[in-house]
Amino acid sequence: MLKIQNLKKYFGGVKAVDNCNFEVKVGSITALIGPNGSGKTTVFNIIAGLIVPDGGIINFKDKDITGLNPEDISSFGISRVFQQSRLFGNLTVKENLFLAYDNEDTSFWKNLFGLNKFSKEKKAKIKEMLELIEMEDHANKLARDLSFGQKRLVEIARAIINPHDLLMLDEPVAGVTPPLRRKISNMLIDLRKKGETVLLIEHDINFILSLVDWVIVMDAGRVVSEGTPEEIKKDPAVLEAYLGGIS
Amino acid sequence: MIPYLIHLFILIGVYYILALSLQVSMGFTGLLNLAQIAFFAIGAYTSALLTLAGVPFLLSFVLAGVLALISGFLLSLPLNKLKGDYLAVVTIGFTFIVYAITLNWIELTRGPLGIPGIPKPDIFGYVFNSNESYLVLVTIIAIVIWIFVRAVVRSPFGRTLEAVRDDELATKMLGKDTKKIKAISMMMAAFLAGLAGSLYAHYITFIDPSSFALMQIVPIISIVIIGGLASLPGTLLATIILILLPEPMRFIGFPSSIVGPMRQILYAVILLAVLLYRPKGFWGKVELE
Repeated sequence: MLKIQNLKKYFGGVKAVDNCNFEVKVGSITALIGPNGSGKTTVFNIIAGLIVPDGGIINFKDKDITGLNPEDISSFGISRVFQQSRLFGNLTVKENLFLAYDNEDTSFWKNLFGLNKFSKEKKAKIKEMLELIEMEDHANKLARDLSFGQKRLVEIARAIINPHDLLMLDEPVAGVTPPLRRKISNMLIDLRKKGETVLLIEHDINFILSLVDWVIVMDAGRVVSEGTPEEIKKDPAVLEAYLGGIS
Repeated sequence: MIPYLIHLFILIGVYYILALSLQVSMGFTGLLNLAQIAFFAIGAYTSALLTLAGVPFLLSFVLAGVLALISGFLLSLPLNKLKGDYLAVVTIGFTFIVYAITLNWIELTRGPLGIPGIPKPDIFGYVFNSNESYLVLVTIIAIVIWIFVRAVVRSPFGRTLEAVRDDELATKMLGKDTKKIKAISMMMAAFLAGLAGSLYAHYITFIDPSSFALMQIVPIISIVIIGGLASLPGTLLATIILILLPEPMRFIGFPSSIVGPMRQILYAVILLAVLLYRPKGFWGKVELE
């Protein structure tokens, strides 16, 4: 589904991403791991169109999406959750979710004359998602008034609602409580059952190894190893360098 | 006393429309747009010149809005690259350009001499000569514009405006064309300011460049911030207060050369107090950072 070839991004003399190559297969959950500064988030930002690469090609569904702007990349079917909360703080939880459903809302005249009313299907989808994240009671609460964990859930829900073929999650369980971590983990398991393709960055190794199908290890902007969680667990170099000796 | 109050309520109507126009771009979309006075001027001059050339008032009124809208579209072109302070600087520059045109294109605008004798509105043979009838006209137009703005900001499109204000990048990441959203916001704001300019010109019946200097944006921004960003009822309340508050100074006996600057000082003091103690204004949704 997603193929990264010889991707490069230099910031002055720093090689943030240096000839990075990897592939994300349809229906898989793939984790991008590596120490801080290894270039994971830069790769995410390049895929999402936030940073223009200095070289390389990004192929998504057999189309070259290298250097496209974020809205076009989103329209191609890539939905992303950021490391820091990027909810619309002055809008309610429900409004945040409705915004992700489609782009009919950007049409001025259609909306002015009430031709873009919330269909039953739209409302049902938002209700279903609110139930899934157990936030029906918070539907009309402003996003800025939510707790950190609640924001995380709404953000993941918003990315799921946003029409997509690939879901990219940047540290989805960083800083959340263990029960919330389990909830997010279960959401991802459900997504896999539905055949969704997920690419995530995460530092919580136990979370990754219990959940993902494929692990890509990055260091100094390059992919240094990849394989199944079992293979990665057994790779002494990876264990030493990135997993801190977890066996 | 009654004619004086009617005069004040007409001004409240005109300024409410102008403040609503700024709410669209600044309060709802988060654009630091300081060009509203320029759009106001474009509307005033367009309407004045067209009616003096024999064009019917209704057509002049609409064209005043349309020409301002076109200016708003042109100003929206660099919007994708300019944000925050930079956008403010560009819109200030635009205001200076429009001011310079009104001052120096003598053949068209008569420059500092201004345009006198702007006719009162004539709609299907009825001339709004009296202030009472003009108040009715301004009130009806202000209500229609309020309904229009309310419909827009409460629609799903209005939600995209607020999304751009809260986090433009996150809005883009949802696949939305923020350039288009900001351009529509800017054009709508310009259109409404143009209409307000037309109403102003036909009420005062005389316009000159001094009515459209950059400093004239101060009361409008004050109304928007004091009423509260993205609040339509707050805007009305703030318009009433800010128009009426300086009026007692006239009765104290200050000369008009003092009343003008005193009014600006009063606005600044109220603005500072609001920013310090009530950053959301009266009913604002968004806190100023």
